[in-house]
Amino acid sequence: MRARTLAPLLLLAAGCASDFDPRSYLADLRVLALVADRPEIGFAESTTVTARTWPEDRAATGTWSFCPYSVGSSVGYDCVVPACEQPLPAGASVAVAPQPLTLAFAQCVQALGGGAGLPPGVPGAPPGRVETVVRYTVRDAAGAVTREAVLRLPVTYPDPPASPNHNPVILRVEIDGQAVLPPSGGAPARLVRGGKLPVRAVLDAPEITSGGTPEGSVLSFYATAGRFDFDRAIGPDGSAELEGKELVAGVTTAQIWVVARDLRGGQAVAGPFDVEVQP
Amino acid sequence: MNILALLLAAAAAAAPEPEPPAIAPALRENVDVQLPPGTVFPAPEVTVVLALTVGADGKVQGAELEQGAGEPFDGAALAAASRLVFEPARTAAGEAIPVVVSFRLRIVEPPRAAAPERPPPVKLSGTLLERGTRRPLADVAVAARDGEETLASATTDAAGRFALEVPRATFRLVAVPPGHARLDVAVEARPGEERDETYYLVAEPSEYVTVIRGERVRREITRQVIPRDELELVAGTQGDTLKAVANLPGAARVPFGGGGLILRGSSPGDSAAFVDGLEIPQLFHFGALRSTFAPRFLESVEFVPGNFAADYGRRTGGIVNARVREPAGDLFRGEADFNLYDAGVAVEGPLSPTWAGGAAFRRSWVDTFLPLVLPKDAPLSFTQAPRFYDYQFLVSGKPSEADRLRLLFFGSQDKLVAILERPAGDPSIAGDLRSRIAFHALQGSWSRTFSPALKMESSLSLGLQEFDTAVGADLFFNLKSRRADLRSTWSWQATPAVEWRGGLDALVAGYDISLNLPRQPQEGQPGTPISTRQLFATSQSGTLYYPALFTEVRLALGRVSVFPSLRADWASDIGRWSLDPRLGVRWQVREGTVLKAAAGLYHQPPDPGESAREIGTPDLLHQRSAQYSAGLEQRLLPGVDLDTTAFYKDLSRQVVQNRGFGADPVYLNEGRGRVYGLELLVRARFGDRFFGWVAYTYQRSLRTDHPGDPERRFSFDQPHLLTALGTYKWNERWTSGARFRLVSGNPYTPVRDSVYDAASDTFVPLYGAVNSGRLATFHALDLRVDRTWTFERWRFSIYLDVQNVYNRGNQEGWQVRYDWREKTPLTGLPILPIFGLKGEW
Repeated sequence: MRARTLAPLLLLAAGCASDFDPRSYLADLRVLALVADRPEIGFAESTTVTARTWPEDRAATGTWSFCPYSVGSSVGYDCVVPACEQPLPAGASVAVAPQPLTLAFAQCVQALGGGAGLPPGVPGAPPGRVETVVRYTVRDAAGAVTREAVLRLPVTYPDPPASPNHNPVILRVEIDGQAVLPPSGGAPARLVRGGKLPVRAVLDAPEITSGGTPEGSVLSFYATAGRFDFDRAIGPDGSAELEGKELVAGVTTAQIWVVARDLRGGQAVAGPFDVEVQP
Repeated sequence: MNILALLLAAAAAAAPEPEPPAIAPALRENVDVQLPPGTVFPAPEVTVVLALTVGADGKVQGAELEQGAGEPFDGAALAAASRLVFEPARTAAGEAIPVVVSFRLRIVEPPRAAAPERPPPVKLSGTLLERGTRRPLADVAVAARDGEETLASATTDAAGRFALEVPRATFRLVAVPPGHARLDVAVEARPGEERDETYYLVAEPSEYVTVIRGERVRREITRQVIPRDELELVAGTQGDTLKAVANLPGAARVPFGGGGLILRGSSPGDSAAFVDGLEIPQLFHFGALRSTFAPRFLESVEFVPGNFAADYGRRTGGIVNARVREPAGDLFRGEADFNLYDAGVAVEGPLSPTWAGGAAFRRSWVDTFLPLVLPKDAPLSFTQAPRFYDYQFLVSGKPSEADRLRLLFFGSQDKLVAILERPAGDPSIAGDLRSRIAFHALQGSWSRTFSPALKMESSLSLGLQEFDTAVGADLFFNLKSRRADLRSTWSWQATPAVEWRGGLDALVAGYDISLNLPRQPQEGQPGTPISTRQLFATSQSGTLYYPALFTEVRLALGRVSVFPSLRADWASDIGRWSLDPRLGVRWQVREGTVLKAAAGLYHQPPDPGESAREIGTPDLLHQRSAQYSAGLEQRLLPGVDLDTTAFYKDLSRQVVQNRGFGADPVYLNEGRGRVYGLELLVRARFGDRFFGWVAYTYQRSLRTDHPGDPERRFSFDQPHLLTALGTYKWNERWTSGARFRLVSGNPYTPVRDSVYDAASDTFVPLYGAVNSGRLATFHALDLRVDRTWTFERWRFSIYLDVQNVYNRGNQEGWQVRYDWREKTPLTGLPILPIFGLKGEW
């Protein structure tokens, strides 16, 4: 493998200044998370995947599909035989059972090929572990904006995973020092122009991975008004400051979300938490 | 001539007179006898007898010659007589009376002036040196002159020494060395004085100075050589070796921050850079601002964009070979350089009458000023800011007339440690960032001339390369490679028309590697977030062998030279041989006109990461390139040459990634490609007053990744590349240069939309046709001004190298929103003035 300089990577990682809206600012339809209640399952098991969107009411209008064998991220997680990607019922949540879906997929492929055998790239039997793809598509109310999201769902064959991954647990969220999860019952925090609201989230202790190291914890912050100083924080106890800038006249309430990920498919969502906005 | 004649005595004989005087006249006043200059006396004393009439007043009233001595004495005596004054003769009564007396006028030869004694000569020896560099000025005529008269002359020897014996103590010393200021100094010495002086003469640029460089036999039909003095002054390159050669035709413009050589439409990994034939493991430091081999000990850089000779292999692109010069053997010399990027120092000098050595060291300043410019709230904080250094140690000697030995130890290290606390894009790229890239190479070379017909050059290089990089706790790539490069080339001039060359080119590389990374995208594969890619982990050790034999015959058939050659390579990682037949022809149509053509086969083993058993495909084939080129070299004017080459490359067996599910085998030899184009170079050099060139390349580089795929653009397909540069030395103080580049924008792969990957919180781009977009055209003007102060024994210069003078916002890519749905051009360097100081002695 040829040596490549790390400098361009660092520049990208550091993020270049631009005028784009930051990731943490919610301005239009967004999929915040696809949460599987069991983020890693066996071939014969099933899991329920729930879409969390903003605006929240759009989640129920989304459609789902499943592909056991995806070509990968380089082609947007296209299915190895796109025509045989298996549709699932529409709604905010969907049950995913790999075994029957894979069987249906294989039948579709056979039918497409007219009995000519499997096309290149389609395995004859499920591999020991594969990242299947659960695809979710949602439109905004006007139908003008479409958002597509995927959940890579690890599936083991033939046995269930020995120590399956679990979703992280958000134990506590504080806004301006006041607990909103669990709720403390206080008055909503107030975001004023030029002011700052610290937002902090604390996770349950992370799992220990098979490699013996704690799994990664990434906290993503979202808000419908103001701007976070950073979109994310690393670690099980992270915070960001919501700054009272670029506030829109007439907007008096903002919503805040925190999404936690273990970068192995496990996700958890906390929110929305309302704050008052005083432009 | 005024001769004093002494009247020693006057003997007067009284004429018979009725009344003789009682007292004879007596001489009262002497007079000078005026003789013409140069009068030769027949005897020390000459007597003229005159009859003088002496009046009563004592004055001579008349004179007649009684007994002459010949002219001019007689005339002079008569003339002198009229001025004689006597005491008059007197009677007994005391009365003064006139008388006639006989008077003997004796003219005595004046004492001869003593012949002037000749003073002993002044012995003046001295040395003529170039001011600032102390370079001896040899074969210079030196003269001691007095007006138009040349009193003595000599010619300086190789050390600039001369010696004169000047018969006068006051004179002018004059010398007119070509390319230098005239020496004309007054010398005032004591007769017989011995002096030894050193004269420092300022070098003056001249378009008439001819620098003759012995050119090696040209085996490649396109090879450009840039001498060091040009490398140092090309505007916009800050004297960097590889950045300077990238201005030649056939070299694509590398985007800001990118390194590597992109020659004739080949991928960076398909070309290589060498130091005297041995490959440099790493070309550039961080950010590609500097190449790792500093130019201090370079003699020249050779650039061959394609159809290179059989000496080189394992590459299907082109080569750049840096030739190392001999260290100074006359004096201890040195250099100190300080600029925005780095600071360096170098020394060299004689170690013995037959050995000389040198050392150079350079270190970057980036770690010093980067913390100053990074905002305090930046998500990236440096524990160890990016820092690089490189060094070269060189010892060279000529133990006998037939042998030359050299030891070169060189290396480089780049290091940084940072903490990325707030990942902005991909959350995998967070935490501790660590990178260390280093190499050290010890190279020994021996060349021997067994006879005028049989010569040998051999070198062995032992190197250590370390590449350690990690991102967070999970992603890392650690490689330690120990390599030995052996090259031995023999040449035998069998007859005047037939020369054989052949030899061995072997590489043995032992490695220890451990990694946990996703596969790197190949050329033409658009990137996706690391978090979304499958990781591969491996840890292994091994040894790779790449021996090669090559042979070449040069047939000189009148004005035509033919170079058939053959090269055989073995690659142990894939267990395969490759055979490369090549042919070159040069036809000197007439003086100043050469037609040339070449064809050849080139094989390159897959990258070890592609052929490694654990993570790649071990039974891959060599990648192959069939290269054809033809061209013309034409002298347009004295000092101005045209070199143009048309080329075509057929690429086959290119290694591409299997894009099917499961990807088994991981890699395939399915890729194909074609590259064609025309290179044109008009190059001018007028002495040391001016150098410059205009390089234009039209080229297209296209690829087909898998059978049935549509043909696509190569990622650095730049159809038009125009570079015009020149440097003019106004005088010994001021030099200025400019470079203008106009280059087609690089292709890019447009993004149609994106998919949100919920597990990693990243947006995965959905790409359109690969490389179907093209960035805006690049153009930029760079200027450089050097001001030099020359002292007797050293020089000091400052320079200002301004890149992108008119602040063009050249697009190097796209800056995209987190979800790829909005984009804006990502521009490269704005106007960037680089200021530097340099002292040389």
